[in-house]
Amino acid sequence: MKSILRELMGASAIPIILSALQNGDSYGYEIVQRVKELTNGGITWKEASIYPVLKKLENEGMVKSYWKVQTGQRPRRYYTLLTDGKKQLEKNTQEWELIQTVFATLLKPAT
Amino acid sequence: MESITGFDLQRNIAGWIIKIQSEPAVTEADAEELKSHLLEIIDNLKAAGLHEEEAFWVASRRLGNSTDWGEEYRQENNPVIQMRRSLIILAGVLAYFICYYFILSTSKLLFITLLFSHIGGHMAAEWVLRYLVSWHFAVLLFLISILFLEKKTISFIESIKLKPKHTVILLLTTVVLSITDTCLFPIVKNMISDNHPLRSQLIHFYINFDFSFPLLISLGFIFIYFRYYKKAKFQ
Repeated sequence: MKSILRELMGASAIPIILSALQNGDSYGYEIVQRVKELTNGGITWKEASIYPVLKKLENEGMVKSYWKVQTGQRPRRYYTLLTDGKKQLEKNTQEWELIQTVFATLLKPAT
Repeated sequence: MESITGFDLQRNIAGWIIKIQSEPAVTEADAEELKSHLLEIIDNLKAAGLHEEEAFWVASRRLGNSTDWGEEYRQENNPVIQMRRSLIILAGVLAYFICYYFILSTSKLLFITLLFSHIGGHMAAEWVLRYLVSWHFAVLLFLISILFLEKKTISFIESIKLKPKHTVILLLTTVVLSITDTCLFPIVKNMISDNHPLRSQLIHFYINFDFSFPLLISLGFIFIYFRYYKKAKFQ
């Protein structure tokens, strides 16, 4: 499968991460695996690169991190979506829907 | 625990963490997070049938190294990096004062000890002068070594992960040493009678030290600064 444009991967990283967190708190490795599974390997991020993005989102107040230690498991840093993150996700969703509409319209065969 | 092939997973993971933490832009929490990710990958690869050693190498390749993600971490951790640099500068200033008060208080202790050992006042003053001058040479040697061991000095400074509590410890040490020096001075004065020429001789030594020591440090700093300024401008 042809790899996705780097710029497109970069532009979609934040909305994808925010969407993944919308369904519940998660940690970096889980988010990377979920995206890989959903896209059947179509989107494979450089695994460590997700963490600076998560840090950026935390610095901007969109997510909050906390360490969680469950019995019998190693400590993991979980991320939770905040109100600003939800607003950003809504905004990103509208932007992507607009782009999708434009694509769909332009690609429709002329009648 | 070592496997039959001699591969020690824990030792290799520890080595990997040390390498990660050597990147100045990565905080302790970031390194812990990356370690957790590495261990998750290793567990999944082992469950898929890979040997420990293979799983470690695949996992570490998948995570990459600082050239892959160092720049992004530098951007996001910029406030932490700036604070760390400010703490290093503050620590440098405190280190100067620690050195200064340490030399002064130990020279006074030396003088008191020599007088109590019934060594003549003038001989004791001479020893104090030699002690103060030898510290000047020691500092000069240190400044020269910075010039010749440039890369090692820079990598040492960059590897310092100073926390605010370390700066507080340095500050408290400075305060303790300055109080010690202040308390020792009247003791030294009282050991010498008022009109004795030794008193003014000793005071002159300390006045000269108050002038020459900071001058030496400042000249060394100015020299090193212009050397780096020249390098940065013309390379």
